[in-house]
Amino acid sequence: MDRRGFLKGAAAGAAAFVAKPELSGAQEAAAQNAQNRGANGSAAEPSQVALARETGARPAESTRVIEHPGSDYMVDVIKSLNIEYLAANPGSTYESLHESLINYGDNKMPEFLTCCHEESAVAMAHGYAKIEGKPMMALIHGDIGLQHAAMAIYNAYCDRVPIYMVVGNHSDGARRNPGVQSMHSAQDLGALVRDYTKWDDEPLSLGHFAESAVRAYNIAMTPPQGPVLIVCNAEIQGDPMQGATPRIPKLTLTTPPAGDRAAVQEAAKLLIAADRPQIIAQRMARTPEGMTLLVELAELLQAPVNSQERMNFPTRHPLAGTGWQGYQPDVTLNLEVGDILPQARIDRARGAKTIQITSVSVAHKSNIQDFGHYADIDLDIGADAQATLPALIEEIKKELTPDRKSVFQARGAKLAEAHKKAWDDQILQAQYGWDSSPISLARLSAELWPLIRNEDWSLVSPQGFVGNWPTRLWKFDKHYQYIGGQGAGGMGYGAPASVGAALANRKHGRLSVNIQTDGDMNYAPGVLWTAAHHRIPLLTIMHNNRGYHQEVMFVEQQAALHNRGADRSHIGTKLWDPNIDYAKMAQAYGMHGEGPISDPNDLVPALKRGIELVKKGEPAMIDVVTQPR
Amino acid sequence: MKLLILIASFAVLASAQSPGGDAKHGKEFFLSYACYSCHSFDGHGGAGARLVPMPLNQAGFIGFVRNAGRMPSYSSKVLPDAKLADIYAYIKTLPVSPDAKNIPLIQELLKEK
Repeated sequence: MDRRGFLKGAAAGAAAFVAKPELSGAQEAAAQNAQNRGANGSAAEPSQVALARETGARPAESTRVIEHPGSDYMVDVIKSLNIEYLAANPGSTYESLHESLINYGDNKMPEFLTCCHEESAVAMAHGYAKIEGKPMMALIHGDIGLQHAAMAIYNAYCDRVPIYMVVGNHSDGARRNPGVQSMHSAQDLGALVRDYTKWDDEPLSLGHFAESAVRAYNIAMTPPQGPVLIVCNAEIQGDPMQGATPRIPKLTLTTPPAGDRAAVQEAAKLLIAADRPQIIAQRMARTPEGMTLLVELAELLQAPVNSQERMNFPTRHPLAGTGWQGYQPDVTLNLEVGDILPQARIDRARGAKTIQITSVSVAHKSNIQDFGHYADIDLDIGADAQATLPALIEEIKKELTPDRKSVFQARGAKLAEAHKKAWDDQILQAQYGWDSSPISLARLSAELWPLIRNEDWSLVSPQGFVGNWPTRLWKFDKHYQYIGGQGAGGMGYGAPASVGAALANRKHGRLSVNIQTDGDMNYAPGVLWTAAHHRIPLLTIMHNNRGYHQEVMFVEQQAALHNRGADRSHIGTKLWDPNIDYAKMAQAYGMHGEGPISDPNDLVPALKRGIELVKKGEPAMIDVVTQPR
Repeated sequence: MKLLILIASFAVLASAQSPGGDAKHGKEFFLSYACYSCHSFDGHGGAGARLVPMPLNQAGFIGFVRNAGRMPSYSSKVLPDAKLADIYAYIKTLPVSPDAKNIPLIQELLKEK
């Protein structure tokens, strides 16, 4: 049969369908599916809607109306969780829920964010949660969407960040169409990402959905926090609601696990007795309260705080840092440190005691090795560090003698002096390459700081690939001023996470700044369109070193190791020939874009123009050609 | 620290200058051998050490590259002395950074509380 004949036959079939007497719901659905599958069960014929798409003809009015699909109830359940936004790339496995969210749910709480890639959707939720302290929803299309999302889920899992994911699936094989619907479905969809999802479930009824949906939120938020996944059957979404409406369970968050009292007392004794204690804070401080507690602990002990991965300690606090030159800690307190082995080895070599407080000790999985190594440590408190600090602080206050307090004060004065010297030294380092073109990252960060310091600003990008210059030059003292890194080191996180974080900052009126690496930008640049479309104010400054710079250095190392020249290390690592025009990229996605800027004297005027636009509520991009690192 | 000791050792041990290199060729090699990737395009450092001002004489520089320590070491098979001499000559042409005292923004940052 040729295409014209096929369509003609399908139209006749559709007309015959309208003329048929009304069938019961299940029979009708079966009849519709039978029609979709084709009379002989072989070639799938187009539905009426598909037919209309093909021919431009208006389809006959359907007698089949589902006024109360299960997906409306799902929206009620989702609304009970008080989720502000959902990020999604559209897909047919959740089409009923999609329609219910925007019409029945009025596209509010959550509001739909159109994304151009599932990885962007999940990474946006990642950045959002780091600012807002609660999950955004990511709505994902079947197994193909979930596979797109996988890398972003893994980053969030390793970063202990809550994300609320709902993924569509055609679970019922008897009702699933052959072809695309089958390819987009799985019998155990959660298995695709289960190794790095904190919890998943595939509810078999609306009542089951309600329980699992509320439970999932609870689990995502309980430390160690992480992404959760609800597989949402297309059949349960689309079938009419029948019988009594299931009750929506009340959401009660589980209190974070706090440390065992005896262990906390032992930790307090070790820290009080230490001559040179050090606090290492990594994924510590889930909320602003965590930062307040850490400052209180550090000041009580007069101990230096080596802050990593999160904004958990003010950068210009006199106790920020690792102590004076030659400061050899005799006790280290490690708070939510990802892999304790390196520190434990150092401590053991110098005869120091190692204390660890992390919820990951009691909650890790088997396959993925994100939990790090087992190491020789002296006290391992399996608990959320933030939830444990109040008890630790109280215990130290209780046990602290005037003698020790006096020792602490003397130590604190010396630490403050060392901090000031280290701080000044860092600033002085910025002079090197000050006039360079391409522009040095120190100059870029230094020039940006006076333009934002009097604003309520937030750095929504990682710093590792920009030499940590913002931390070395700026004054960070608020929890939302830095969101940390990727979690698992997966590239492609930066651009979407910055958009998600900027979205969270928007309602607080904050100025969000993203120093964006070029390699990361190119994974899924469509997120720029999402920022423009949803009017998310965000200043993106390209750190355009025209390559995957870290990898250039790695290939060079290997070339030297293999006794071969490094003159081919650009192969497979550089992004030049042609150079990528990020200003045009930004413009193409609907936002202000300017550059490339190579002369440091052109930098400030361009940054000012960008900031002005962002303050008006728009995203803007400034492309700066930079030194490699 | 180890790196500094190594650099200092080579500076002391290297008593004689090798024949002068060609800075123009040196620039080509500096770029093609991706020296810039760690030391920046004009030698002011980044992931790697600052090369400007160059603390070593030419022989010391070549000796360091042959047995660099933290940095990858390059043998004479892949980077002959003549090429390194050219690179050295190029590095010597690179301008030093302005002194922090003459950069108002750095002075402002130092005064910031």
